[in-house]
Amino acid sequence: MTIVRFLTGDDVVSEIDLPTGVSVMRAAVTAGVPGIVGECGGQAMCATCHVYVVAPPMGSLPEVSEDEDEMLDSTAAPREPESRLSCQLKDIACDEVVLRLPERQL
Amino acid sequence: MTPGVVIIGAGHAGIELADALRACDYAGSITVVDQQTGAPYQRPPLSKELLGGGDDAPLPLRSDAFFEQSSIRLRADVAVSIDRAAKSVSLASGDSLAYDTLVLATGARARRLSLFDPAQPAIHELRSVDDARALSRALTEDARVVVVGGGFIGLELAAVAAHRCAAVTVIERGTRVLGRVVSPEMSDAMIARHRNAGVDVRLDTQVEDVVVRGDGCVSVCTSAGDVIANTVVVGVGVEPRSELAERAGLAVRDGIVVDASLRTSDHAIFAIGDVARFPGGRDGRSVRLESVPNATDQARHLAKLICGAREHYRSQPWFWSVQGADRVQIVGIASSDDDSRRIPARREDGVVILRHSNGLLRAVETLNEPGLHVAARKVLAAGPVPMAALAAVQYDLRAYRAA
Repeated sequence: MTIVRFLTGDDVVSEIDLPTGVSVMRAAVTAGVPGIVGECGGQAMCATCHVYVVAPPMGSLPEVSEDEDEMLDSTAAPREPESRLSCQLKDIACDEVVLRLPERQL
Repeated sequence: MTPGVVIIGAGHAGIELADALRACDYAGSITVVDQQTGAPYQRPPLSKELLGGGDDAPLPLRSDAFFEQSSIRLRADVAVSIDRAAKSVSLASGDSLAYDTLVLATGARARRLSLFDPAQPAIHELRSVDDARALSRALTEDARVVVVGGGFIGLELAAVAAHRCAAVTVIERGTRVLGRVVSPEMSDAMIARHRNAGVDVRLDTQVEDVVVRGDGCVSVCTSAGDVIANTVVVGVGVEPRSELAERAGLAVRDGIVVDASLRTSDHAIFAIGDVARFPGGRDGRSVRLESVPNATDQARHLAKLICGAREHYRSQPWFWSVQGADRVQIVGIASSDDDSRRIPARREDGVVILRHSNGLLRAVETLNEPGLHVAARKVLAAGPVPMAALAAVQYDLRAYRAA
């Protein structure tokens, strides 16, 4: 089980458990983490589950697919090197993940 | 407290509206009425993930805690009639709800064909999570599946079934698949993919009779011969759920007719989402769009209107479909007589088609090219796009954007 912490600025606003096989987007929407929308239901089609990865290092997360990479160009908040779509983050091999929420998803 | 906003329908449109009302500090009461019990959920994954054998719990639209914290009341009930003079909705339970503003977000239901009896266990449709669960159980390794209808839903589930089942046949009465939504060129590309995946796609084929046999199998008799199946899925589009509006005497014409403010012919009643026919087409023509982005865009817009803004609804429609490993994305609304121009894709398995008329770009269809879809959205959002200007940059959507 991985624990995912969501930050707004530097403050932890939510903390959820991430079961195996479940995406961060799905776990966040189910738990009601404000600021994760996931309008397309997790198909990397809408770019409304954008997050900035604070920890672990980007290299230890599932690889960014070409589709995700291209959809990241349409996020409402600026894309940064740490940007990911949380619907594509699952089965993360570490105990703790820290994600910063963007200012807007739409 | 005043009666507040009553929303009929807990789909993407209704729930987004409730959320957006609170987000713009609407302080009145908000009640969402829907016949479904349980938490409101997202439908797009039903024909993709859930059917693919994924997580059995549907993805909720919002968490349970959200509704409580936002003081949004969910009522599992059916709206039966509207008393417009008294501004009140009667429910099947016998209760009635008073409103200041009533919003019809009733969505659509799967269209049925009289030849197919939905009470037969082998005959399925796909709209609700229960439909998806029943269908998922039926898509076994030895299943022989017939999909009636070559639209988005039909092809999405044909792709899932092709992955899991012994035989999959798609029966389409038109001369191409996705005929209502994409260009002939994209139809050809998609049909080739499905045939490659082993799906038997039959075009120009009418279902003439359906015989349920003693062993539970179904013989689907078509103009091009019989197909035996143990699972039949009817995916022939949807019908707007506009009966409530009709009974209340509101203007209804393949959907509830609304103006540019999403208002029906009654000042206190609005309609949004799949059920709403609004003047959002080319040259102000009315359209009814079946899509999540349309539902949520309209919901957010209406929330602003209810909270006092005064602007007309304008949006750039976009659509998506996931068919097996293939991803179709469309931005803009093409008309069936628009011209098509296929431009070079960047990926080997990509297809990009520009739809245009009178020298202007109207819509862009992409297959497995999310980057170009994103570029097309930005290009079309910026205003009218002359084809000549695109030609000047060799139809490079990203270069045009930068120009």
